[in-house]
Amino acid sequence: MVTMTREELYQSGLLEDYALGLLSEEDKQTVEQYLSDDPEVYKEVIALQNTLEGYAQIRSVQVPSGLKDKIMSEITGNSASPSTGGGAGNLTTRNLLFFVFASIALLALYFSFHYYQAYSKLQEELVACEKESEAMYDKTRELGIEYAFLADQQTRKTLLTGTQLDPSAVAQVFWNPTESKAVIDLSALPPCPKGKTYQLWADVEGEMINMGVLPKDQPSLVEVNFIPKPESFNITIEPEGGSDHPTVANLLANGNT
Amino acid sequence: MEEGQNNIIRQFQDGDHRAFSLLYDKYANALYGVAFNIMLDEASAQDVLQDALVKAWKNRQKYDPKKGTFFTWLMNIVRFTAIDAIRSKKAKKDRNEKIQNQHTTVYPNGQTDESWKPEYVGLLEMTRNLDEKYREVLDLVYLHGFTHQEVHEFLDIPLGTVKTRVRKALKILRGAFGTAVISILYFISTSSALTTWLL
Repeated sequence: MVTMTREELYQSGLLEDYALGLLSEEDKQTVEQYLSDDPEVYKEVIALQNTLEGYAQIRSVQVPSGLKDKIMSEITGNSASPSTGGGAGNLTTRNLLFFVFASIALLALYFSFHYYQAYSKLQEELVACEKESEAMYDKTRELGIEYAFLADQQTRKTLLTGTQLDPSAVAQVFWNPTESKAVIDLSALPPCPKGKTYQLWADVEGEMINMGVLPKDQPSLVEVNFIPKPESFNITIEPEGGSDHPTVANLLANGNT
Repeated sequence: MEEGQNNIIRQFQDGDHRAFSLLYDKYANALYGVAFNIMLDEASAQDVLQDALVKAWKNRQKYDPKKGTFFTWLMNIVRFTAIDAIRSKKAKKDRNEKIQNQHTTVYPNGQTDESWKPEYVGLLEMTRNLDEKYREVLDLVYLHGFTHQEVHEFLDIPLGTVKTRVRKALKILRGAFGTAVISILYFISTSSALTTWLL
């Protein structure tokens, strides 16, 4: 099979179909080959799958009560112990007692050793856990602030769609007039050509006002300058470092508020 | 951020029942949404969800993170189980009729658009950007388990158009959700589940 370039793969729709679970076994394996060969493609597929997960969560339906218990008992399965067989045997009481005490002694020895090891391991794990929970706490705080802004009732969302230059370019601006804060999600923009940079503008009464040069190779959510009363947002391709005025011929994506 | 979640998945793969329980709490309703929208019947949907999750448990070693997200792996098992359950012509005919009559995605127990949980509202807002013609095909394919061919027959639009629209729908949703979806997915159910796990 002829190998596709990354561009061709993205255009083919195979990745979307893979995320949707629509591919034949053969096509699935083809995509999985690209997933292991190309980390960019892998990232894109994960993003598509996360998108569908978000959609599935919105469309979720409350599972009727009782089902969880049924499922849990089915997976924990029968824990019936094997039936004990046989009758009393020929052991004298003394032999039996010796055997029992010896076993207990051995078991005691084994367990104390085992528990000592387990204890040391747990100590280590506790320290590791504490470090991890600290890191997660910080990250949770960060995400909480981000989430609070994105989910805020006062935060408006404007979707920017691609122009003829590239109809598949998509971006979204989150802007909040009360907080005078604006953030743009760049994750779905095509890669910026070398030597150029993307720049965001707000159209206010016919005048294009700079909201900022957009970074390449950066996390997808970027804070930009808030401009009050924007009528539309516009992304143009400018030379590296940005421009004072937008190059209108290079309008990549825009959206009205 | 995903380390905690990855740990739970690893524990699940090791056979830890508590990990399974946490993952259930996080994902069951989303999985059931699809199970229900394919089966369109509470009893069958529950059977499907049970079968699928037991299957997932039994095959827990088979999940490979290099091939996609854990949720997708679970969802594919649910979809496969459900679609298999309605593979008879009659079952599909009944399904198509139900969807025609409802004219929209079905919600049992009178659940409506208005009863969305607050944390979903952000995501829901973003789906309003999706044109009806895209949402329609996406729902048929993703929620109701239709193949492209079945959508072509059901809506009487060309097969090529179906394929293009489904992909476009996902592309737009991808752009609209962006990476915001990751923070929102993280907050849905995880915080409580993870706190329990850590404590």
